[in-house]
This record gives sequence, C-alpha cells and structure tokens, in this order.
Amino acid sequence: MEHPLLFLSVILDALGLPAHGGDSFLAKILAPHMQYSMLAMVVCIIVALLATRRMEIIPKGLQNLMELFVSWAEDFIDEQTHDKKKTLIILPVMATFMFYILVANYMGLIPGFMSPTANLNVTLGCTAISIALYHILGVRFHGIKYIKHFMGPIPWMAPMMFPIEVFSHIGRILSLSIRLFGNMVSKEILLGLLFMLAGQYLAPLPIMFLGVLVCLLQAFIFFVLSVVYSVEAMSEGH
Amino acid sequence: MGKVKEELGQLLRSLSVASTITLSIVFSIFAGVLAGYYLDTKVFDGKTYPWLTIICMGFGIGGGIKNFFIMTKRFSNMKNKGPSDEEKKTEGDR
Repeated sequence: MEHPLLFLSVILDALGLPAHGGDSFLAKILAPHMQYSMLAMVVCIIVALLATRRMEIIPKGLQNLMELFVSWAEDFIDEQTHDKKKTLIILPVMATFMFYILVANYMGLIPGFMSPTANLNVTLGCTAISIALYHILGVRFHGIKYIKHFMGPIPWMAPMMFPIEVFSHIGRILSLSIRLFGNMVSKEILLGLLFMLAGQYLAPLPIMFLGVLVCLLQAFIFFVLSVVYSVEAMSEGH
Repeated sequence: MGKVKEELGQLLRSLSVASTITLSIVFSIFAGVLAGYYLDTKVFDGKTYPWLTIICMGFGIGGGIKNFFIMTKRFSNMKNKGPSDEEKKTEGDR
C-alpha cells in the first residue's frame, strides 16, 4: 500500500531518481520499502554506535537503555537454551532482529514515513535469514545427524514423518513472514481508511493506540519464534 | 516496579502465545494444500486430481500439530519458570 506522501521518496524524486518502484534495477533498489528499510538499518547502527561510544562502568542514558535491552534478550534466550555458549552464538542475530523490526514497525507511526515491514518482501527476507540460520546451526551442532530431526522417533515411521516435518517447516516460513506483514499492513490500511472516512482529527486515535501495541508485540513474537526454532534445532533430537 | 514489569512480561507472553500457535497450524495446513494442489494440477495435469491434495493436506495437518506441540512445550517452559506465590495459593484454594 502506498502512502500519499513519503519524505524520502520526495527527496529522491527531487534528485531525479526513480523512487516509486518500477522495473529497472535502480527503481527496484530505490522502491519505498527499500528506502525505509535502509533508513531503519541506519537508525539501528547510529543508535548502537552512540550507545557504545563512551562506555562507562556505571551506565547512563542511552548506554543504560541498550544494556537493559541486551541483558534482557540474553536472559530470555538463556531461559530457553540453558547453555551460555549457545546463547552467545544466537544472541547477536536475535537481538538485531528484534531491534531492527522494532524500529521498522514504529517508523510507520510517524507521518511521512512507512513501515518497511508492511511489505512482504522485507518480512520474507528477515524470515529467510532466520530459517537459514537455524538449519545452519542444526547442521553445525549435529553434523549429518541433523537429518534425524526430520525422521521422528520411530524408524519405520520415518517415510511418513519426513513429509510432515517438511510441511511443518514450510508452515513456519509462512507463519513468520505473513504474520508480521499482515499485522503491519492491516494497521496501515485501517489508518488510511479511517483518515478517509471518519475525519482527520481524533478518529484514527484508537487504531494508533492499537498500532503501538501491535508493533511491540510483533517484534517480540518474531524474536521469540526465531529463538525457539534455533533452540529446537540445536537441542538433541528425539 | 518489579511487579508491574513482571505482569507486563506475562501479558506480552500470553498475547504472543495466543496469536502465534493458531497461525502456525493454519499456515502449515495451507502449505500442504497448496503444494498438493500444485502437484495435482501443474505437475500431473489433473490426472490425480483430488488425491495428492488430500494426502498433502494430511501431511500439512500433521506438520501443524507438530508445530503446535513444539510451541506449547516451549511456551509452557517460559510460563512455569516462576509462578508467583499468590497464584499457587489461589490454585490451592480452588
């Protein structure tokens, strides 16, 4: 869904670049969801750099906030893995997922910006990373025996279990990507409809409030599910 | 402050459980049906029409149930970590 006015698109338009999507390579790179995805990445990197620029033993301000976030994420993953080594392997990716998706979701609430996560390509990209990561971790921790995770507990049932497992993994891909995308895009469509139908002033406020909650919740769910799948792949088979 | 944080975390977890488990089942079944339909209509040109769809739907349902079990296990781990004393007391009263 296209917003009426996007600041970055207007700036790129003024520079003479194709900023509203198209078929050429440059137009695909500079499509609105790509611009705002890049912006979200830049925001994440800048915040991380600012928070770690002057490290102090007693943290203040931004460093305090980031330490709170990172330690919370570490504790959370530790609860699932019960193993410090495994936690430290997946912590950077998972915390980055959460931070990036949080920034990307909340970006849609500012007028003139859009959520890059309201585009299926972005969420599918995040999901691809998450899914590839947990298969790689599975192979790394179990080697060729990782295939046992797909075979179920009983040997003679393996030919039946294998397709079931394959479909459950495909279902994971779909549910991870489409949930995030659907929640974000539904928020945007509802806001747009209310703006058009009900009036400009206070009518979209309840949906805005719901949006604030949903943004946090969806980022959290993506984080939790990525952690759960990775832990599942790293743990011992049946 | 600590109690509020605890309750907020609990609420967030319950909300995520509620909105996650159902969708994972639905999409797993959906993936099964789509794959079966594709095999039936495109690969075998409709000769096997309803059968592969039905079989793959069965696999999809199985996959959905498996996802369901994994998530229930993980999420109940999360929840049972520290039930507060009050909850235990009320459960005992009942």
